[in-house]
Amino acid sequence: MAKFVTFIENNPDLMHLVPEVKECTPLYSINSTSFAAKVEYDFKDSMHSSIAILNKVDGKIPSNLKILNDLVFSSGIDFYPHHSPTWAFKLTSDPKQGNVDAIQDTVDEIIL
Amino acid sequence: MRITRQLYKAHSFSNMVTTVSEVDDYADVQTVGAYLNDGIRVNNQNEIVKTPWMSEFFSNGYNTREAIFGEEKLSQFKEFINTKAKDFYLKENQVGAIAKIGYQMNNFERAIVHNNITGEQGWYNIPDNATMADLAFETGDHSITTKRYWDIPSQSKIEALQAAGIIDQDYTIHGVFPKVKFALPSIRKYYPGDVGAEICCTFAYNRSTTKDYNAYKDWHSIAWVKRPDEELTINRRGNGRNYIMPLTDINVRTLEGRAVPLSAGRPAALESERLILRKEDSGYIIHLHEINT
Repeated sequence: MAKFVTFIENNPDLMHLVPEVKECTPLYSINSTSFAAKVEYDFKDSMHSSIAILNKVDGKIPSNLKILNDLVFSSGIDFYPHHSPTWAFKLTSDPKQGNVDAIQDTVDEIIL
Repeated sequence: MRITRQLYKAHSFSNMVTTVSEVDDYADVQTVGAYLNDGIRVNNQNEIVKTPWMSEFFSNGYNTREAIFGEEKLSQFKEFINTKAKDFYLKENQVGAIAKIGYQMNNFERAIVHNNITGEQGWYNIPDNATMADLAFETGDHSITTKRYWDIPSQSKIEALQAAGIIDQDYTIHGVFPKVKFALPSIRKYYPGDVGAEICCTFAYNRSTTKDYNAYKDWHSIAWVKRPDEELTINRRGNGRNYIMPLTDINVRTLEGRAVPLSAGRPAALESERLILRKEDSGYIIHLHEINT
């Protein structure tokens, strides 16, 4: 399941959504140590497909889904939902942005 | 190295601002590529897709981005680096893109991207036969790296960019958010030179009735070039909504004389007729406004 975690220690109100990897499909080899994979994330309210670089295991592209999932989370990929067009448009479909559940935080609006 | 993060979610923006200090370079961060499908393909290119208004900005210094093709995409890589820039980024017929107006590469990128032919920032006076490999910052065996400069350029560079039609006489640059992005993973690195901020910015107007890429047809984006030691007046544009977002910490003064400090990446609605920026500050200020209203 996708889940919220505290994003940084000194700001417990700022929550970051860690997506669930629904599917990871190897696409092509990049070099002797890495390969590209299609990774499908579940952002709780929407799915998002993207292409990520993962490390090969013993010089080979793994096929086991659990190993692939572990590779995704150990790769240091930037998982922010900001990278999902689906998530961006979710903002437009929600008349009250505070209800968007991808990130729960807001600031006072400044009007000049 | 010290890192602090702040999320500004207001006025239809969602901006994650990462401030770093005591550091020369910050992180090799992998950014995932968009998964390609025909619905978002632009100009029939295999590696380019359209994008909503979501982009990373920086307050100062420079950043690099290495787009990784990989050994199994060697033929696509060679085709890409040998493509003439005028047939690609400087192409006006944007099949599949939003609005289909102007170059595929917007003016803000043309102003800040490194040009390897001149060794400086700015894509202007490009020779007709210049290829992507000629212009890119670095070209590897199967990757291509671009570099972007985020400090306000020198007066002579500003004048050169004005002569090229990239910066207007009123110090505005029309077209800020990228229209397209790579469908390839990339490695990003930031060189703030001590203190800087990365601003991951997303804008999607929450009262729009259009819920897809076409929502941006109703919006225009500009960047104001705030030079040091010069005051700058920012005017409201059009009759619709106006929002501004500075890329550096600045102070603004409203018509009523109110002084308001704005942090890098913090959006604000502009409802006064104009704002005045004091001499002491400098940096780019992003200004979005509704059109067709």
